[in-house]
Amino acid sequence: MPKGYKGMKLIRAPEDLVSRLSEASNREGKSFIDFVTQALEQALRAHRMNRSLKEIVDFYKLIMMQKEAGLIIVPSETLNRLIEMLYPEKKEVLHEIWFDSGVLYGKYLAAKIKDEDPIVKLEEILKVIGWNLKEVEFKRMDGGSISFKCVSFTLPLEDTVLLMKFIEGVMNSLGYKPVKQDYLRGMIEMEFKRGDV
Amino acid sequence: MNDSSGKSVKRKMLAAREDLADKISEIAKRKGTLYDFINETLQEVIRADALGLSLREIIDERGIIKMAKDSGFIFVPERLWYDLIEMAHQHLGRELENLWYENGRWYGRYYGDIEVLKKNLKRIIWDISELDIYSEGDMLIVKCISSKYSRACSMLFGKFLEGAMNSLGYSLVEGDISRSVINLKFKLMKDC
Repeated sequence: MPKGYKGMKLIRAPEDLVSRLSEASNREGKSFIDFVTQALEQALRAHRMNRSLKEIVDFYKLIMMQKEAGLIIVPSETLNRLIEMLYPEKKEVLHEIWFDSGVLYGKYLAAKIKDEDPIVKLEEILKVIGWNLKEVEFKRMDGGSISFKCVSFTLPLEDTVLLMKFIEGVMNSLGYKPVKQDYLRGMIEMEFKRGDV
Repeated sequence: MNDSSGKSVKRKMLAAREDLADKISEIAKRKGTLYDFINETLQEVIRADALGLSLREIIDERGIIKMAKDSGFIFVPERLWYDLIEMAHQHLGRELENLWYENGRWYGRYYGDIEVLKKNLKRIIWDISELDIYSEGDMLIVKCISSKYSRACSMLFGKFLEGAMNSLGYSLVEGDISRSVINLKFKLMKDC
């Protein structure tokens, strides 16, 4: 071990990454050793959380994508109460608002997602946006159709219908129309086909 | 030297603090090789750097969002939320204010501390541009600005903040709420 490296160990790493790390530490005005130390500390922190750093960075990117798409974070109880209060008299208006919001969101996805399948991304997003969905699955079927299923044990019936309208709006922007729609409280099953049906 | 995919990769030695290197090495042994673990770690540092953040900031942010999700916050399209509020406010003004107030009380109790509440609200309420809570003499001042808030939204968020501060032991002594701007003054309740 060279002088000045007491209490340190040498670890092998890919040369290109070490160079990029060195550039990053210079940009931040930190010493390279401090930069490496912080990175390893965070890797250990992620490990204690039972997550890989990749999962955490992916999650962060997905959340920031929601912010960019015009989503906000609100208390679910308030949202549920609002829906409960308005639904009996404003059902059709609410359906329309949810569908339109889905259309806008779908347009954002279509414009944003270039190198990935937007349907796969949508599935990932629905899993993290906190609608208490325990199961979310889009499946590509033979003949080009797509099936969608989601399950929640806590989603009220009105919210289930509205979520279905939102998904319909998103899929509409991605070029798919529903050919089958079925729901129960907390459960949605849909099938979509491309283009005008 | 080849990486796990068989591709030839030049390697370099990296000096790391001994205690950290030992812990990392222990974890890496369970998952694969130390080299792969270090490789993944460095790649994520670089990804984070490209986002303009450090890994620490990203992990902190994840913690805040996870805490919010665990406590019942969900994501909705902003336009949809504002439409709902405007529609509901016309019909259920007072009832709606009570709903926000009670919700604020719940979150005040949940976060349990003014600083924690402020830090979390700043990170998760994306549609506010400014939220400040500070002491001025024996008063606690709460200021919030959101260019996106209508008068109804401002009134309701004001009620949320009032509820949160109440459950943290403060009572409202003065409030000035207009479109986009909320100014509230609180005093510590005597029995707290």
